[in-house]
Amino acid sequence: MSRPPRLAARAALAALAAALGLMSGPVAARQELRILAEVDPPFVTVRDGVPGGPYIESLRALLAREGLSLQVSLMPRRRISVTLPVSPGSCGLALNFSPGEAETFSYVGRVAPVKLAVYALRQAPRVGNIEELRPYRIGAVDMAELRDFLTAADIAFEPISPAAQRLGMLQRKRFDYLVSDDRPEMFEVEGADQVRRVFVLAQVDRWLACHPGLPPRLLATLRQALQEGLFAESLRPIWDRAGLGRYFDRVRLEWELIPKAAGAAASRRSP
Amino acid sequence: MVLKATRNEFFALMGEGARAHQARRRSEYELTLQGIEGETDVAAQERLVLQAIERRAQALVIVPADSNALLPVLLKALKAGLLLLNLDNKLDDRALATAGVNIPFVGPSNFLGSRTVGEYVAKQLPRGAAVGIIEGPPGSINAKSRSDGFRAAITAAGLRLAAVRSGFWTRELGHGAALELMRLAPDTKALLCGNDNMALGAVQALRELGRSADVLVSGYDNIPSIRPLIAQGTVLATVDQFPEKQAEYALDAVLNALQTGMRQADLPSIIQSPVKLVTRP
Repeated sequence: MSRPPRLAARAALAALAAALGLMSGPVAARQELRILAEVDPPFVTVRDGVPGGPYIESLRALLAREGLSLQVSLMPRRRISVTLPVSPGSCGLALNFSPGEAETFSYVGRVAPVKLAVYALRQAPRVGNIEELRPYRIGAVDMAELRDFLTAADIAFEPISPAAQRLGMLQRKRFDYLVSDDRPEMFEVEGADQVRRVFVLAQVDRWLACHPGLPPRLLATLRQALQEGLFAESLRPIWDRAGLGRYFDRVRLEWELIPKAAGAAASRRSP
Repeated sequence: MVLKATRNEFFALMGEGARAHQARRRSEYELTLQGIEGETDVAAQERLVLQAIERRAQALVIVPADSNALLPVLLKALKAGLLLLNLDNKLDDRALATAGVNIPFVGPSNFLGSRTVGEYVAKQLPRGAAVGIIEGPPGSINAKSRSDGFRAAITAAGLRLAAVRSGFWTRELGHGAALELMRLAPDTKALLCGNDNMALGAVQALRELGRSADVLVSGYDNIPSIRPLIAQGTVLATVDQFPEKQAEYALDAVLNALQTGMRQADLPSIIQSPVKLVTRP
């Protein structure tokens, strides 16, 4: 786990040298970026072994304008955590912020917002805030920001991983309440009509996070390309094709990263 | 170089490392070493940053008292042309991305360090045992990172997290946090502390409660005050983060950047320093 100081110093100097060597010249045309992502329908999908979905297609479209192509590798989230810090030239797509991981790779830009919400079966007792969850059995998707919210409120919970099982576990009454990211197709699975959203706990973001040795000029290009995350107006056709046009509109309306026209801001303030 | 918590032995060692570095390379640079007494006195640290700007320092290495609150004054420093490096407690990447700046971090993976010490403690406990975490201030990324490492070890070993309480890095508040945690969850079998000062407070609390024999304590930092307790077995383990080395790495990076004309945006975003588990010999 720990490197002897001399080795670590060499690694630090190597990172400095890499930064110096790679920062000269503009981002080369057709430079390839390796993207690590977890299959997470409907955002990241795989069909006939080919990764796709609006997250990947949107990122591909944004970076193509900068002369960058993507090589996508799909793997579970936990493997991304281990792989990314030792994979120069790589970035992880749609990662949730984690303080521990922020020390081993760089969170470069926001790609999408995530609402964290509390769900329950329709017959569950009414709760109105996080404190009232304390006496119940809670299942929560395994995210650092969510762990922090729940432990700060003294709420014991069972981490759910992989997240795909979340709704089924609630339906089987493995726990009384589910705390999960809010998803566009959340209620489109069998039996989901028994489930209701109780309240929204918080909104956080998903990130593009990269190996810390990525050349600074390339990082600047990525930051620039992701100014509106994966929800720039030019990406609307991709979201429409995925059947997520309404979700795209809602994000553009609600996410603070998207600049709002003065008129739009005024209309949002009006009831 | 602006430190925090100068009464904390860890940062005293970091300061010694910086002075030793400057003594070895005195022909190359001058060092102004300052710090705040408290762990979280953001206003006092802001004043020191403003002084560095007024002094027209060429570079600033800072251990921020808060991972977010210091950013506005650090942006002023960047605007004034100072080369800026972040040491030990990482600035929040979310805030850095919002501001669109690169402030390199020099320091260890607190997550790996705390997971290692957590795994060591977990080996002494039966599955299902309750474990408490005493963490640093909520505004510090390294406090959260250490708690995440502890949680990873707790989950992997099939233990149960009893509760988390903040001891704000200090012995006194660590003592209070341990008392509260033991009151809330009397079946707690171990207290994983985010630094050694809080571990010293926890040891004192357990003595007062008559629970020293059945509750394990671990620390973090390997400060001189904890070493006798490690040797006696009163504190099971801690983690050495080599504060002197951290200071050296940061100053090496600053000198290299100044001497090669590297711009702020071109600095590597993370320069990792070592961590090592320390247990009874």
